[in-house]
Amino acid sequence: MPRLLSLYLAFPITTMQASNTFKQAFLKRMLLGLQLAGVSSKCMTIQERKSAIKLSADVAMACARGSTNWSRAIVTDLSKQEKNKVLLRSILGKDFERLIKPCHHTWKIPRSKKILKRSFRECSRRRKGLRAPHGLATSVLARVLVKKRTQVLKRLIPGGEYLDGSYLLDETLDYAISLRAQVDLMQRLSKAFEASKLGSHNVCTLQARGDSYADK
Amino acid sequence: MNCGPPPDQLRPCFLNLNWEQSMDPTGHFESALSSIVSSPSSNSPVPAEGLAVNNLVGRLASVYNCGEEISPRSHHMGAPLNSPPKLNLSMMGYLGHQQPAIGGLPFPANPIPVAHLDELSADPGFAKRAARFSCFDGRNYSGLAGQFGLPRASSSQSLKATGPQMGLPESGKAIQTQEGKQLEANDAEFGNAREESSVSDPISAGGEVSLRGAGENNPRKRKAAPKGKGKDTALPNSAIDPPKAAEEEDPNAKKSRFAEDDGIDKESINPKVEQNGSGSGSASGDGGAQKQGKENNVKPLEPPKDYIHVRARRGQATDSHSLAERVRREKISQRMKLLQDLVPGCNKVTGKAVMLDEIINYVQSLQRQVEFLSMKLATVNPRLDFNNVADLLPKDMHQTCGPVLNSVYPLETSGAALSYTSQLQQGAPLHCVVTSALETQCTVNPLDPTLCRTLSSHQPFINGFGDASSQMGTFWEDDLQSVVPMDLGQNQEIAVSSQSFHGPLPTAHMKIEL
Repeated sequence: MPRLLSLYLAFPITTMQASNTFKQAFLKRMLLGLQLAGVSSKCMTIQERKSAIKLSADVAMACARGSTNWSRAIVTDLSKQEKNKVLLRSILGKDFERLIKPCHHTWKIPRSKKILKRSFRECSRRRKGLRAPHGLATSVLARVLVKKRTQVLKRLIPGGEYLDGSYLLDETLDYAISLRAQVDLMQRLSKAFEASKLGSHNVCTLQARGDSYADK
Repeated sequence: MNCGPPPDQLRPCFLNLNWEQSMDPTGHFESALSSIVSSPSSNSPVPAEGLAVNNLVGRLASVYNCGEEISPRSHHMGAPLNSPPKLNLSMMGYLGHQQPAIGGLPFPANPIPVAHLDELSADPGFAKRAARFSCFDGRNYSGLAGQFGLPRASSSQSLKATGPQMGLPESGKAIQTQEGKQLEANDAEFGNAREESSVSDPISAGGEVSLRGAGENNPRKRKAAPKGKGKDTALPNSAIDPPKAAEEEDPNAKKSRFAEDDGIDKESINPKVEQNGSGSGSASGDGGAQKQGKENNVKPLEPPKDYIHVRARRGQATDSHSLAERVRREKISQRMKLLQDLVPGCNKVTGKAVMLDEIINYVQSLQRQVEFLSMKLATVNPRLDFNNVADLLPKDMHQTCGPVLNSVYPLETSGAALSYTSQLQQGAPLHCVVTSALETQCTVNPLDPTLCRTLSSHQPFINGFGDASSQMGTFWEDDLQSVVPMDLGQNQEIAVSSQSFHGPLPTAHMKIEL
């Protein structure tokens, strides 16, 4: 929760946003990754280039976020492929070791799940008589739906299979905020690239249009 | 004043005061305090400590009454405390925190020799106040109980001195004689008369108690009691969520009876403290207050505990399993609320299943956007030197929240999806459809301006693909099938046939809408 609050408090807008430090660190890492991945070289296919870009983007996001479950999971999953490992090491430097090492927190989760399940079972057993009769079927249905969706969510979030309950939602929140920042930054990157690509040829039009859009 | 030790003892305490935050009449109070601290010779013949006490009490009382001016030089303490002072709880909290500093009330370590108590008690105003406290009996004791609930265990001055039967003239004497008594008896008394309390009573009572008392018991008791009150005030204002409050609010209050202050410091005291002890505390009005207190209870200074305290609510199962279950559920619902704020357009969604659905959609769309953007970046001219990109970005790095200045470029090598939509300009209805679809879809907002621009730009889309087109064809089919399921074969033709877009675009439209 503390890190959630830190994210929550770091923005001026009503919706949550990643902090500026995160964005800057992310951008820095991403550019470094793009360089190291050799995206500028011509010999890569589009597909290779795209995956290299995506890799550096994900790694940059994970590194900028620091030590969270999903960020570690991203780095771990990527480093499972040998060809990525070298690249990851060069991008991350010493952070690589830090992000790779397993966190004790994940080991705690299965234990608490057991306890929670037991308590839940007992609780529902205890409460069965008190429930409204019509609610029983709908509650079962609701529980099934929630369970299904939780499974889908677990697959979506990197490293989410080992989490449950409020931990999973924590990770989701964090991950979603970082994803949003990632999308935003990649958007700007692509615009900047296109601007540079055009060169001075369209500078005037660019500026004119830029002004007009600034007013929007 | 020429009192040696007491001002020295007082001074460091006073320096810590942040009274100004909580008190209205800080002006004269501060001046009074400073007068005490800085000008020892403010008063006269009375023995130093007693005088200090008098002055301090006077000042505090003046604060309580908020409107009465007490000359710092005045001995007369009868003026203040005409009515039970109405203090806000934060004041109490500060008083509690400043416990060593509440000079008016306690002194750090035995500062008031008993001899001076004689003096104090002899003071007519003091006696009057004592009498006033004596009639607290029938009044709002929930606060009092809360305040003194903690110190029950501590042996110290007891408020019993101010017990109901104390007459005016005897007040001083009674106080002295009962110096060593416990407060437990008082608890019973207070417990009998639980109501919604005005904090003022406890604080003045507490003040008086400590005044009467001597010895280090006083500071301890005072520290505990007002601290509890302070936490009470903090509760409604706390930003911490109720589940946490429910956890932390303390069944340690139960233990507080038997624990020392230090251990107790962390607990929040509540009117419901009486739950622990007195059976009589369950008046219905009280029950409501208790419940409310329970829900709002938070300790802002709570140090991290190694286990969670949870209290069973009224009418709910009390076994540990259901408590744990309830805590877990509350945590989850709290996270869901946060996620509701994150995912745009989910304010009206209620229920876990639907909310989870929205969250899943949102995360999926974000991930797809990342894929798309990385593809877009990949199609940028490879000759672009990434070393120089940093030069292009300083503006971006400073813009963190504001919209990016988007310029319109002829989309020569832009992503394939953009190229598709740029050809839309020939099909106005599709344009409207897509943009409206995109506008309604929160997640695609970053793309929206781009798309709008491409649509509004009247530059025909040409040589967008270049040498990459062939690769892109297969590429798109493989990777981005899920994102933009378009018929790539057709789109590689620069010639636009609106039909070719009618097909893919509605699907894209539907896909984007998820």
